[in-house]
Amino acid sequence: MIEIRGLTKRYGPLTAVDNLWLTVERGDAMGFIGPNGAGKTTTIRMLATLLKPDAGTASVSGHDIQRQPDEVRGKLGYMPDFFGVYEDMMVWEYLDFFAAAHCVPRSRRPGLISDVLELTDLGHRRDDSVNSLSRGMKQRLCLAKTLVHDPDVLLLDEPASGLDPRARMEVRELLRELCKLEKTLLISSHILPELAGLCNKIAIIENGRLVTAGSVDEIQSQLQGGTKLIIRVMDGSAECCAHLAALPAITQVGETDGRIEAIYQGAAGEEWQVLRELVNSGFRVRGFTEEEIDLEGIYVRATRGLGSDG
Amino acid sequence: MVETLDRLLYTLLHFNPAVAWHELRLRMRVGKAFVLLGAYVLLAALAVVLPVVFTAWERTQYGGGMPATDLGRVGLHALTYVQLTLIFIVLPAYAASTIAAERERQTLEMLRATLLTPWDVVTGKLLSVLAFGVILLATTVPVAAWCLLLGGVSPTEVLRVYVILLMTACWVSALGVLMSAHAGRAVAAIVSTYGVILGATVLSAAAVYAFFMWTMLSMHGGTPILGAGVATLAVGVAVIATAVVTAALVRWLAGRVRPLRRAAHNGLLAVALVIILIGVLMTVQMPLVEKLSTAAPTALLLVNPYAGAAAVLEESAARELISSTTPTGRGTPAADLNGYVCATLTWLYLVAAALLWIAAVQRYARHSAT
Ligand SMILES: Nc1ncnc2c1ncn2[C@@H]1O[C@H](COP(=O)(O)OP(=O)(O)O)[C@@H](O)[C@H]1O
Ligand SMILES: [Mg+2]
Repeated sequence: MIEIRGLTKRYGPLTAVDNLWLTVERGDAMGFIGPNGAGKTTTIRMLATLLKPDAGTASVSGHDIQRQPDEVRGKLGYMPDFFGVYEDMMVWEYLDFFAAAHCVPRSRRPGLISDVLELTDLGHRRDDSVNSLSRGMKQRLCLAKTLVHDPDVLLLDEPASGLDPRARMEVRELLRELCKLEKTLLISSHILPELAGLCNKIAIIENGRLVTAGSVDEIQSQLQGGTKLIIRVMDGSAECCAHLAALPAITQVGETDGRIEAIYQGAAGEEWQVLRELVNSGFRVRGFTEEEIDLEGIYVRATRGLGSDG
Repeated sequence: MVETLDRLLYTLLHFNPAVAWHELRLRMRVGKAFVLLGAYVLLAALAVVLPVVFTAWERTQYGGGMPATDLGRVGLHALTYVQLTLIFIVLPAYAASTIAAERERQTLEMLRATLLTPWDVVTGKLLSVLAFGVILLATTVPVAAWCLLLGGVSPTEVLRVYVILLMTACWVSALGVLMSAHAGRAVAAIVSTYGVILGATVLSAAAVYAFFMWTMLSMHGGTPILGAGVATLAVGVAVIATAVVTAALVRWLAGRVRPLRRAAHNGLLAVALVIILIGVLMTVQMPLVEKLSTAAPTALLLVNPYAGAAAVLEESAARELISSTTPTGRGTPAADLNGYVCATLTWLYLVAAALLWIAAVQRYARHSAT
């Protein structure tokens, strides 16, 4: 479990992380979302005891990051956003080194290494050179080394960034596996859909400040309080948009290629009244459906509505 | 077995040898290391064979039947100085790239997030560099054995040469690792290590010169000599030029000057200023200078690795070194002057290596704490 209490980091005049309060419960997988430069990496590096906070503190598995850094490092698996690999080294040697660096005795290492290789689906590359691996495989290898000492808490900084779609899929699959492992995860990303369906909690950060945090559903209702309606009409979609915009229950309307999207924020369960209004006004409605608002929508709304003023 | 060793190191010294094993595994695998080893032996052997053959040929031509029993000595001298030079060329590059290269290749972050302490990392790197140094030295043992066969040197002398070379390898490695812990880029670390070694050699050579001037002045009965002062000033200027050129080189290669390099630069400048001051005093105020301790400037002689090696090899050089660094009135410290110098230098180099090593651990820890 991770408890962040008022963490602050300044770089000269810039406050990269500004009084951040956040708790990730044991077993939770939290998506840590924010645009580039929001302060995600800075926060994660402070949690990984690699950067000293200017104010505030945090604890990982009950150990304070400043007073008990060694205990924290023992409990923690950290994957940086950018990393290199050693040349002229075999996959198993790489993992062996990191196990040794975490004080895992020699006799226990082979078992642990084959476990993480199996989990990351790299078992067949055990004796290959680290350099011969593809970008996606290197990313998975880095995840494997993050797991090799069986940490309770994983801090993964943009684990799927800079990958081609296929490798991204593979890493996503692996992350899904990790989420099942009874570990506490904090996964950062600047792309929200990347974490959709993976995480059960979301925290959104911008300009070093927490915009919002909570379960995916909570955030959805908190920010949204409504539903998205997808409407199609036979003709006159422009007039339809204008008509919709005039309705008090509709807060936002947009149209692309005859597909009208409207955000409904009226009373729940009363969306049919919009349909009745349209039909009564003479629009020949062809389709009227309700759509789950995706995480990207939340993200855009959250950072647009709340983040830009600060 | 190895696991027991690991555990022993950890319980007794609180040392996790992960980095040491890892580095050894990495370095020894690279083909480059063996090419380097081959080149090293070849150069060392060549450096011995050429002077030996030349001396032998010279003697048969002009010596007129002089016994060729001390050819081994000629060979051993060449081997010592050439190996010393090769150590100064190879080990800094090797040691200085250890930590800085990891920083450059972005592998250090992950290392720092593990349970490895600065002491584990720095000591592990240092040990791996030293292991490589030992291998380098071991490859030339056959050449040394050949010198022994040629005659003119005793096994003890050969042993002393290797002890001094090993101790030199110790402090050079520690210096390289310190620079590596400090620098942001490998090339900056390598250049600063070369710079410090060059600086030490030049500075101590300047001190040798100062001592020479000193004795000359004493023989003149302490009257100021314009020429000596001017020459000393010239040495000061030369030292400043070295400092400036080194700093410029580092700045050019590293992009900017980091605080420690600036400190080393300033230190070099300060020493140069002192030399100039001595030069001025020599020219105008001889009696005052005479009152200063004669030992102080000449102690710098010990810093010059070549002077040290010479004193281990040759009795006359040892006598010179001892008489110049021991306050007059104390008798000769030992019957075996070379042995005495060898022991002193071993102690001195080890202390230097230990201090540099501790500094490297501290530097790495502080670099990590930001
Ligand atoms: N070492 C540093 N020195 C100065 N500014 C920094 C440093 N590291 C990060 N920053 C700044 O702090 C802010 C947050 O950076 P970061 O935590 O890397 O963001 P993210 O990971 O969310 O993209 C950025 O504006 C960045 O420019
Ligand atoms: Mg980042």
